Amino acid sequence: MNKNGMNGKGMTQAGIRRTLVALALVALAVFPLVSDDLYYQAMLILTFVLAIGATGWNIMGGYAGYISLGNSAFVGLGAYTTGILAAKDNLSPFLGCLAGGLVAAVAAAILSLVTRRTRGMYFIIVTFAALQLLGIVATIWSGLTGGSQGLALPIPTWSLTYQNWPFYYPLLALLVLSVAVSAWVRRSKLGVGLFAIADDEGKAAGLGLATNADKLIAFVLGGTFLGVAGGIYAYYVTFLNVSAVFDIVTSMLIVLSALLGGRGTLWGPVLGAFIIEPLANLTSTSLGGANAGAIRLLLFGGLLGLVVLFLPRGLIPTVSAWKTQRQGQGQKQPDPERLRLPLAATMTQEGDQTEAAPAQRPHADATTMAGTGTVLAVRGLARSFGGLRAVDDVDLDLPPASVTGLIGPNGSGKTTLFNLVDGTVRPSSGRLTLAGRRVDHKSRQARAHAGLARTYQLPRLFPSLTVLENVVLAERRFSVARLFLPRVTVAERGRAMAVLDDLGLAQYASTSPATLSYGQRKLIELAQVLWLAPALILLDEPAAGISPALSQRLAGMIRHLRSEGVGVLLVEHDVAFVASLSDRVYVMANGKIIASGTVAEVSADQAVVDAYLGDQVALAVGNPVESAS
Amino acid sequence: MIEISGLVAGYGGLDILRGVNLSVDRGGITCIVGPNGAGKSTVLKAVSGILRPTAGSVTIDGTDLTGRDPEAILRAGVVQVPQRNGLFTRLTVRQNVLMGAYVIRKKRRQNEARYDALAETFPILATRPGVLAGTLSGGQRRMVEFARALMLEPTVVLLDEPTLGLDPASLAIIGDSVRAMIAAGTTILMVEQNVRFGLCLATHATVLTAGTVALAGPAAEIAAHPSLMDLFFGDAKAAGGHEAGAR
Amino acid sequence: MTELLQVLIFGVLTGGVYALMATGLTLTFGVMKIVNMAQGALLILSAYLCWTLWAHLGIDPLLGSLIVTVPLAALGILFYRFIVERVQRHDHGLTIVVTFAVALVAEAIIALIWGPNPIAATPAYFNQAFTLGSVTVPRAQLYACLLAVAVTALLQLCLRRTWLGHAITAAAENPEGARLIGVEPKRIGTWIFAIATATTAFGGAALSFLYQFTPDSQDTWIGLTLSVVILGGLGSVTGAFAAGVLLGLAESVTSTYISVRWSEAVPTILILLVLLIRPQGLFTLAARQDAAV
Repeated sequence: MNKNGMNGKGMTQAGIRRTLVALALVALAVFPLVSDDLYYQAMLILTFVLAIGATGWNIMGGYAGYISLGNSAFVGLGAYTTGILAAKDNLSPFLGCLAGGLVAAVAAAILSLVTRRTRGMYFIIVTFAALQLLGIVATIWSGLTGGSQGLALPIPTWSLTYQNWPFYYPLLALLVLSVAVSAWVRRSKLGVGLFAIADDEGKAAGLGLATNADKLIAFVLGGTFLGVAGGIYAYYVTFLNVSAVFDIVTSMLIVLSALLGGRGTLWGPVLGAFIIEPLANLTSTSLGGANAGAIRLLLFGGLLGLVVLFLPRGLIPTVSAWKTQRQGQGQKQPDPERLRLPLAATMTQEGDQTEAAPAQRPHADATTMAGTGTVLAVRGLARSFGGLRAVDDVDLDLPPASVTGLIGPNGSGKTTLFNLVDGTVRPSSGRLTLAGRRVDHKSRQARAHAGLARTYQLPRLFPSLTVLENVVLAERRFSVARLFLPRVTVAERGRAMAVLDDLGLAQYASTSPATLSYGQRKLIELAQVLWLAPALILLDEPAAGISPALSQRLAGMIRHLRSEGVGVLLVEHDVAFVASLSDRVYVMANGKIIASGTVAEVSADQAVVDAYLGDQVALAVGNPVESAS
Repeated sequence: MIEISGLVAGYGGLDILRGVNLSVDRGGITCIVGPNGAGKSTVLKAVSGILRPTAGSVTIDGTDLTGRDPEAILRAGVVQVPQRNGLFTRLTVRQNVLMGAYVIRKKRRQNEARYDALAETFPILATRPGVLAGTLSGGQRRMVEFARALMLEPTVVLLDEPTLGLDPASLAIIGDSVRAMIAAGTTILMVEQNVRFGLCLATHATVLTAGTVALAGPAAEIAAHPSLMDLFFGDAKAAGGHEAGAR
Repeated sequence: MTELLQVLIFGVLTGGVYALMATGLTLTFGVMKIVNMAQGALLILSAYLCWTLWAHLGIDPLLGSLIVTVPLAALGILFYRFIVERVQRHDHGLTIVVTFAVALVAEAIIALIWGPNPIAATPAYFNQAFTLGSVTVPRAQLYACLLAVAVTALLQLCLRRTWLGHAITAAAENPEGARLIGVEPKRIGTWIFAIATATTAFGGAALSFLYQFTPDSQDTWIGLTLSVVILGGLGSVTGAFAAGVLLGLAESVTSTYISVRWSEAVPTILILLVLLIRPQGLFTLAARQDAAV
């Protein structure tokens, strides 16, 4: 998905696009003034409504990845709010539409709360069910909504010379506004947060992103536009009918427009709407008769199916990918599937990096807890899965400015312990104190804000963002003002480019991390989590699968971190690597800590030997096994 | 019997195996040991077809089975008993064992006869055939898994950490079962976390570290290696912990 | 008291039928984690086919259902092979959208073939009832519920006693373990869809003489069957049966003691409650895949 327009053509393409858009806008603005054709005016009005709907949907479903089948609910809420206020209180249309937007915004906010518990396909089902329920409730409350009898709004009272202009221009303005907001979102930190959520919400939370706040804003933006459009639409049609308004087909048309044009792009939903609505109009006028509805359904249902099957990314991304291929730019396509480079190539690349002093880490603010006691204190931590005690009464103390290793045989509970510390899993019992704060039941964001960072054995990066954006993504504290900043501020760019330079990866700054090799992605992930200026960093098998040269480099970076006051806890199978770095190791077996000390000490501990080699076994037949020295 | 040559395999862009060479003679038991992350289970998965290797070859009894589907490999006579979750908890003991013959399920009479024959080695097949597998203890489950593996009268059985999750008392039973398989003419390639147990049972051993073979030879020799712990702790002890003065 | 008994009996009978209608959905979700939004449309299609057999050939819907299983199974196989499987490979999330698209297309085709007027099959028993003391048991409901029990029992038998059934159970629980004995979850997929759509034929037959229906009824029925599956824990056939009965009871009680209108909202309210509060359903202890962290 070419969300970021990462084509190298730069100015020229953007310039062409801007000119086209300006021309189209002028044409649309001038059209009602020069033409008397009411048919096309009406069609354009409905197109604007659909385009606004699709653009709003796109913020939720395209940017943040939450597909909703129930968006006509927002339109319906806006329409009915406006309609009820118009019929009962004779409120000015302007205020009525705003009220519609407000009600829809509240509904959208509630929906965003739902995402705390329900994601993926369950979320889709919830939106579908909510729409159905709303329709039924609206029918039942016929006193308020007119039920299946319908609700009538006051008929327009202006002179006929103005035709439909009082609907046309506000809708056009609303469309321009919604696209402008969508564009702003894409360029801001809010947008970056949403794309990150769509790629890997858990990891985004682990980097301190306020995912719930981001989703709330995104949903409310989407919902409000739909609600206001619904209000204007209500005045336009002057008659509301529950089954026509809270209709799944309208929802489907919104989704289809966005998917057809390109989910996640800026103009895709608008393009899609400008294709779909005229098509709908065409079919309803040319295919009269009893079968018109069925044929329309066939057409649009079929189109939706075809788009998902054969054009899953939508028109704009597919065309731009095709163009890039033709021009043979040789640009690597962002590919969420791993692009594997053969081992030899990886080693050459890494060998070429200058093996200089360990890279500068961006420790701008010295909030590390150096010298003020332990960075991580674990007491009696336990976690069971079913009947299995994965972590059993573990006590641990990590001082600042230290490197501690966590080793042990397979299934000893090391990964679960990591997951308990970083918040992926909640403990059954026990206490966790991070830099002086109790965090055992805190969210992942809260832990990140308290100074915790973690890497993964298979690096988790965000393929929809560039390498540079990946590096500067993490947030140590939440502030609403930050959301308004551009995706990468000048100061951040400076710092991040310095980091990338040190790593020798500066040339990849504008590409997607999906194109990098395994080793390179490990380095980027480390840079990414270090952006948090953490007090404690958990490294999950940092040395796994990388060349000895890179492994040395990593060791250097870890030593540097220690000298800056950071506490490092690493899980590693490569005990030699651990030994060369750690001040201390803990050995885990069967969920418990069975030994701690230096590597030399623990390797002489009989309990540790037994854990690794297996309990002393007396088998009647066969070779008696010498016990290890 | 089993020839593995230059095997390279991994997941998610990470190469776990980086050129593994291993061979197992007919009728022998070879045990793969080594530190975690070395790739022991990955070797078995590459042989049984669950994982497709990116380079190298796997030959069984002269037939090249590299990268084939698990079903084809089953038909070639190679069965794997996985590390965990091998049984289907919602099926009974009898159903689980018979499912081992899924690829030849049409041969009803033969399969039932085979079941009865196996009940002699694995009594639980006769004593509790109708019990849901989910209610069995760890040791009992292993027995059922072994029996299931033998339904196809395989030439090669791959055992992935047969003692995992079992208490030491069950080890003897595992040892007996494995020996019973050998007596029936199977060749065994096993991965064992419990190094002493594995080396005691096996005829040959291969030590895998960081995706390559560090050491291979008769099990007794490897077991008698003066510093077996170095397998896991490398030169760590010599290094004596972190560099002094690195703070 | 009699009224309550009446309401409960009716609820149980209706619930059994709901469970039957949801069986196909339970199967495809349980093993393949696919939410087939076209289930409602498939039910309605079966209903129309059974109605046609009854209206033009005089075949009782209960018998007609047997005939209808054949075209439905064929449709299920095509649906899986050419549509679902393709989308699943690219993007599992969009699978639900594509099944939704198919539902709309199916509704349109049905409307084009049979027209929009509401119809229902009216075999002899459709408005007859048995009387047990002071309670009346409608014959149509009873027959439909018996059909439901029979089909569910048959399905359970198949799952418990046949190779295919074991393979399905195995693949649902443990895909990797299943592969190791030669059961490829993808090939099982075709069978599962075929069985799922075949059982839907029975559900449609019951629908045809119990309710009036139009092409756009599929909307109501997908909501209902989704509700059964979500309540029952998304994958257990017996759990879904229990959930269906519970749903039938809830609807019946709401309809009598509150209002008919609100009883229509019961399925969707239950979906929302369950997904938001106890996502794993009321009848299962299985953990949810996407538990928010």
